[in-house]
Amino acid sequence: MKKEKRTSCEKTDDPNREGIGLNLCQVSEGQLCRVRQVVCKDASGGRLAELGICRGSLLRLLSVGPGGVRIVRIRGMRLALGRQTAAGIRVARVGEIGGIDRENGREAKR
Amino acid sequence: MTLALAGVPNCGKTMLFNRLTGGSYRTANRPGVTVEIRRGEYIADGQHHTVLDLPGLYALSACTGEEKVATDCLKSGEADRIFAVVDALSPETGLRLCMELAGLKIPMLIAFTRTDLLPRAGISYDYAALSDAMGIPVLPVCARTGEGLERLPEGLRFAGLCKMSASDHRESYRKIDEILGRVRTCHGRGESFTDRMDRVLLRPFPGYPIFIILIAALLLITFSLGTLFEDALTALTEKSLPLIKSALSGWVAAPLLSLITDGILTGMLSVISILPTLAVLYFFLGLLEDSGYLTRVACLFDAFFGKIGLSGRAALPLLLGLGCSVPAVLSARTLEEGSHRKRVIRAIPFLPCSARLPVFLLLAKGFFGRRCPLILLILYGIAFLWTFGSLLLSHLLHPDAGQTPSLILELPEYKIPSLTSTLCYVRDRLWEGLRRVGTVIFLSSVLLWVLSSYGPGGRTAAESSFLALFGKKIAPLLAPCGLSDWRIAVAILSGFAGKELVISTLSVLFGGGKINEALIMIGFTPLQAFTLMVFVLLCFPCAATLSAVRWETGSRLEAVGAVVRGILCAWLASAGIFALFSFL
Repeated sequence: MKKEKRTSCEKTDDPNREGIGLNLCQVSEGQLCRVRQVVCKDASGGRLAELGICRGSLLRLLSVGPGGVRIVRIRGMRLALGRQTAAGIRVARVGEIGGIDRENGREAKR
Repeated sequence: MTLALAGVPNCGKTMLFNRLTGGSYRTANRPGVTVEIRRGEYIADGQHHTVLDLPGLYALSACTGEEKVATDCLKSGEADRIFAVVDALSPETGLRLCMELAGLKIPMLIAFTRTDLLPRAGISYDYAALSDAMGIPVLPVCARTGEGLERLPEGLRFAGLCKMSASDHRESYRKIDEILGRVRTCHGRGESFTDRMDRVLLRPFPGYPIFIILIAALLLITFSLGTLFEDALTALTEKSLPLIKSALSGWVAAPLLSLITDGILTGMLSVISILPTLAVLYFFLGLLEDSGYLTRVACLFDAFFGKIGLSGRAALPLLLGLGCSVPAVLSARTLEEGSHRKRVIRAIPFLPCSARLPVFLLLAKGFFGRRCPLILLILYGIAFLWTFGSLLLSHLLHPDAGQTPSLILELPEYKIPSLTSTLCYVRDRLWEGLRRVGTVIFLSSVLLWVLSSYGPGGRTAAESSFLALFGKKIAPLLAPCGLSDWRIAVAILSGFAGKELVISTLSVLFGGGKINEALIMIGFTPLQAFTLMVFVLLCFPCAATLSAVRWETGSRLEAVGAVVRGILCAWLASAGIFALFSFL
């Protein structure tokens, strides 16, 4: 099995905290997550909150672009988040493949 | 009454503005198209209303330049009513903005746009319930067709203060989720076309190869079709000028005839002949922009731009610079940091705008024949290398070089580009080109003819004219670049008023459409043609771009700096290439 390349933001995270202290860089594609905490620079943190990425929000990681850019869907919106920003968003996994994202009112299919 | 259209970026404000006012402003499928306030008039029930199309904003705490423009306007109290535009496909951020706008205490109503796409997305709303919850009228509208706008006069009468107000973001979104949970019905359709496309286009492979192929195809198609159109128009010019000359010869005096044919018509027709090339370039750029792909380029190159201290957002103004430097400089407003904005604005003039393309086409075709596309691609390669080199240098020299902004960008859905919108874009650019032909090019052609036909002793040959005297003074400075002919020096200088003028001046000074033959006659070599192209590529920006630079940076020094940098870079690159290949 091909080993997935780990980015620097993944390395900084403690693997023992997986499930409660993951950051967005550690989430696999298609995974539905709930935001636990946003630890970003002031300007980025403010912009993320305006876009709805704040504690308790549900988001789905759609794909990972070059250089670790995360494409996420939140509240029907598709956002591209740079690697640094993604590393500052701590999340907890919610659904599994084929689950129902009831809070967003959408089926969480992949 | 003054009505302000406010909403998050790319929610369809300008399309709605065009529909209300009969305007034809550019719309595109990306955030940040509108960076300035536009004004129009909307007439309903015999009443005239002023409509303001504001740049998109996510909140009143402005992060970017264009958000500040919108925020300042809203806070100035100029608007009597706010027409909040909310994208029906993802209304959460729009509704949160409405809650924040409620704090301004300006009567408001909401337009839910893109309602035509709701059935396909499997979404429906109970608008009456939503209106009750927000306390203000909510109009479902389709800006593309105008459906639903007939209810706007009624909505304006009932516009009021939004009863939902913003506390903190989390609480606002909790309230919105609660409201939407009651008024929205979703029948999810699983993974969308956009998701599938992003999965392919935003991978390093095949994402980068596809981008390179797309840009190379865009340039090659422009070069090929542009050459065809230009050939046809040049042939037409060559045939029509003698006919006009002979038709007028019996009617007007010789000097006036020379002014009309050798000066005005030659100068203007040389620029008109390049317009089809520009139309092709703008058409394909417009298609890329409207498809939603152009925004993805920011994601593709975020890591690359991160290495030079910028976020991927910087890719958008730079790509727009391939069309025209002025809108590219203005769109740098969408970058968050002022210092990054300045760095991008400083780099934009090194990109080959469309007005320089005709000079390249003419010289490459005349001196390199079938290798013309290759030479043009090499030139564009030099331009990209120089641009990114200058960004890297400014990153290394800049005090905040260590702080790299992180990318946060809303991605639009992919869609089939709208032919109407793209053709409107092409029409606007061509109209701008024709306007310049009628003003700047006309006046410059007259001035050039006068200066090249008269000298200290009155009417004289071009070689002893005022222009030649001036050109011969500056030509020695260009001798290390292999450009020691005074006419070339004058043509390069004329590009200050507009890059189209380089070709127009060459036409006037070398007597009509056969510029290449005239250049070969004076012993111009392919190497000199190439160094001339490099000089035109990198030299100072035109006056319109300098004005935009000064406006955006608020500094005259920046505009002067752009001129000095341009001259130095162009001279160094051209002289270096000339010396290297002469030695080889």
